[in-house]
Amino acid sequence: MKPRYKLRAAFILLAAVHAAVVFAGFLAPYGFANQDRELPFAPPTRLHFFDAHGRFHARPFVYRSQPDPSQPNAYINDTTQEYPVHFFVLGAAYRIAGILPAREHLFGVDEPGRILLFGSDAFGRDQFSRFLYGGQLSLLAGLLAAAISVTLGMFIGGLAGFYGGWIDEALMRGGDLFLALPWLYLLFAVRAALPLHVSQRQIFVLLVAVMGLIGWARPARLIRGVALSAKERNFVLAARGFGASNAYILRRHVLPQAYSVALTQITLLIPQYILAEVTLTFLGLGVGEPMPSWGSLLSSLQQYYVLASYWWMFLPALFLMPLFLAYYAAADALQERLKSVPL
Amino acid sequence: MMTERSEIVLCTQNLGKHYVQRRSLTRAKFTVQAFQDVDLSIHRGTTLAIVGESGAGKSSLARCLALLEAPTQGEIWCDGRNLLLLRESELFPIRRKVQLVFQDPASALNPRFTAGEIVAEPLLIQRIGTKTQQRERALGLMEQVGLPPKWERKFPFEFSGGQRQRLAIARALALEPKLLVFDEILSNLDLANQEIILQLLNELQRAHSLTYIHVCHDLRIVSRIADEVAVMHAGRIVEQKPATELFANPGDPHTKELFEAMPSLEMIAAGRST
Amino acid sequence: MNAKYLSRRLINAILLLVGISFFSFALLQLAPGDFFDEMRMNPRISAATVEGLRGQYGLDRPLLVRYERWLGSIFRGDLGFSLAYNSPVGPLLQARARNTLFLTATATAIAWALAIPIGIWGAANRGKWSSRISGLATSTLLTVPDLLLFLCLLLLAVRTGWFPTGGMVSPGLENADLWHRGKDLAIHLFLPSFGLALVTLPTLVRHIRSAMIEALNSPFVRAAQGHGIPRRRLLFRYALPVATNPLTSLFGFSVATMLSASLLVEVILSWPGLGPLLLEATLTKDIFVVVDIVMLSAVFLIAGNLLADVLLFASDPRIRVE
Repeated sequence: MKPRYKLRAAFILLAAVHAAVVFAGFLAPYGFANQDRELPFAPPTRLHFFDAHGRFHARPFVYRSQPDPSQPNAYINDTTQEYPVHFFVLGAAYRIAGILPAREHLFGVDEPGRILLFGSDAFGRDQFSRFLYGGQLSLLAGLLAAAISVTLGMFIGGLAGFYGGWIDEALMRGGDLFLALPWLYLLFAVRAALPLHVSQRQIFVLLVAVMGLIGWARPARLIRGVALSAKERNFVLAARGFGASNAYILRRHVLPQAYSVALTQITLLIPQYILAEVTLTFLGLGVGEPMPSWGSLLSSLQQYYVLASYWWMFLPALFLMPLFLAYYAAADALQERLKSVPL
Repeated sequence: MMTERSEIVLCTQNLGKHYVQRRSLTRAKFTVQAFQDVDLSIHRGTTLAIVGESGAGKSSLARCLALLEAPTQGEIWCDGRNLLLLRESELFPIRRKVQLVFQDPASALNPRFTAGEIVAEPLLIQRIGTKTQQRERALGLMEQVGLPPKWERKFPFEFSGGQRQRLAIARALALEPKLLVFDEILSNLDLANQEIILQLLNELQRAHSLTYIHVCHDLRIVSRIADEVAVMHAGRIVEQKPATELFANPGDPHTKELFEAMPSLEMIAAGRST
Repeated sequence: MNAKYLSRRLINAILLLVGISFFSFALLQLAPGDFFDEMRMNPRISAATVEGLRGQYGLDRPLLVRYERWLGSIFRGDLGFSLAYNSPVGPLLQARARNTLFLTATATAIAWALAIPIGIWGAANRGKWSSRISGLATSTLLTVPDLLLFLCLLLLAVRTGWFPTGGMVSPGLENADLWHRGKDLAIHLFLPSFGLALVTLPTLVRHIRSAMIEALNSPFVRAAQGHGIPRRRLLFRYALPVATNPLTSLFGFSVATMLSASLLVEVILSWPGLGPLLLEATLTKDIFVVVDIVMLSAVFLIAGNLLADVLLFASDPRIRVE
């Protein structure tokens, strides 16, 4: 696929995913902490168009799941009552982007029916809703951390490349230090040094800050290269001839050359950081309950019986794949563009 | 072409520059002398041509004269002051007086800047006038060099080689310099574009009483434009004379070598002596 | 001239280790308050021990002195005390470190053993649809998050029973002969090492492929082609040696990713390595264990990079002459 189309397709997919996550409240039929103790580990609800008597319903409906009396841990459908799926229903209150209060949901069923598109977890919480809300956390963490890393990398790499000399040596050696530690170990170490009992928000901020602060070394090295070659260019010399200061040259001539590299680096780093957040939360080191993250959605899979019997718990992990694919495709396309830009 | 000597715009004494490099293997330092013992006096309104084969140190000298690089020996005098003793902040206003135009305009113009931004940049850096005034002046300069002002939002890659060079010249004129240094500016251009630019430079020199230093290896061009010629070889000026004299009888063997490389010497000599 | 390159890399490695030690020490300073407070509250540790430890680590002395003493104790083999395990850290780490190294080494071997033929084959058959399919498969594998991959392997073990779901050895085999013990170890090793290898495989294959393609396109190989040198010889005797230069630096990089990923696979597949220990220590704020494991992992990484440098030195004549 041509880089241009690749980039466009990837961008559309990413925009769609992020939009879905931002509007999680609207798209999710339930709140993320909404439990139903009668339906732990229920499989995804199937949509039906034909009822038990064979009649066709234009509007799809669901049956309520009931524990199967003949087998433990299994469910059958209660076919006595149909619960049609309504669109644009009023449901639990939520806030759009944390600010605007609203109550409209895209779809839902009347109580006591329950529509569980991704099944439910041990507490009967709707995995689909938690998936959407969890995306807010995981995606935001990835984006912020990647932005911090690349901004830091631009700053440090730009200074190192531009000034050269001992500044360059010192900064790059410092970067080597960060590169010499396997990043997951480093993340654990810093996490361990921090107090365990802090508020949700603080953990999130700390997590993002730590991830961001660790990953500056590689982008910095690349941007240093750009700065090194940029400062030798004749247009920089010409600017000096007009009396430009170092700060001006860095700001207006050198760093802008690095924007394309920075963009590519961010696109590569975001999936890595999303995965890092998911891994950390999966292992119990991230933001805790009840705020979901994709990691916490997956953590129950560490128990064998969940892993073996409840396949729908894998769904959040499966959805990571097209997301990463989109990011990698975008990064690839950007790399191609970088190579062909006339310098 | 003036016969009486006008005031001196710039003069150098004993100017020299060397680079210290290390051999990557043994880490031993060795010195490369770019040029040395350069004494020049440049008079207002005249054109000095610096000629010589490649590697003779011409570009390095040009950049030092334009205050873009620092020489390691000697002095540059302007208005009674040794410019090399000044701090950068003191040098700031003086930079308006001398500007350099590079050989390759593509590398000398930031590809991400628009034409208007490029020409206005010196004014921005020197903080002359408001944004609007800067823009107006930039458009005026573009017109002066023969580029339509409506091209102000175009990027350098949209211009041809000759047009880019004219854009670079417009930029160099922005600060109203007294002295312009041209580092082989015609070498990358075809004859038609060379002609356009030479005419432009001629007009500008007449209109504003500008002083030019041309680094050039093409003696045909030199014969047309130079009042005085300095011949460089291996970093030294081996001969320096008014142009007419030089073309009539080149004294130095190196000068003679340069001339020998040109087939139509007789024609040039003949043309100049009349 | 020969030794210069190696000695430079060695000095670099040592400097890095010194830097890491600073960093680890700084980390230790961030949490000692908590640590000793919790220690004091622990009835199993007498007040005398706590004060003794405090004195030993000289918490009231200036920073530099503390650093020296800490460094000294490290070299003497005293790696601190684990609160959770109620024992010195040193012996705790030994067996675990050995297990992690074993796993990582096996996984590296598998990964490279698979990547090299696939990469070379991909480069040699570039353009044909078979190579495109393998390229597609590689890209797909790249998008699979390691978490998902390891969970799937665990699922495989749980569902089919072909592989044990964790551990390194089956209980009750202490007295069995070498052959049975070896088989048992192998079957426990298979899933984690294979999973680890799969995680790093796509990047390796990509790099090997492009390195080989570049080598095949280089002028001297094309000249050899023009001389009619047969394809196989061309691939292995001409292109491959040229491609090994960028590949040896890839080796160092793959060690880093491998180490990071090993943490996760050890936790999920219950391999008794440094990973689960580090996780536990982080959750219980067993700071000495955490810092020591981090330093150890850095040592492994730096050693891995040094190994790559030595390999490069041995394989590339240009470096030796320079």
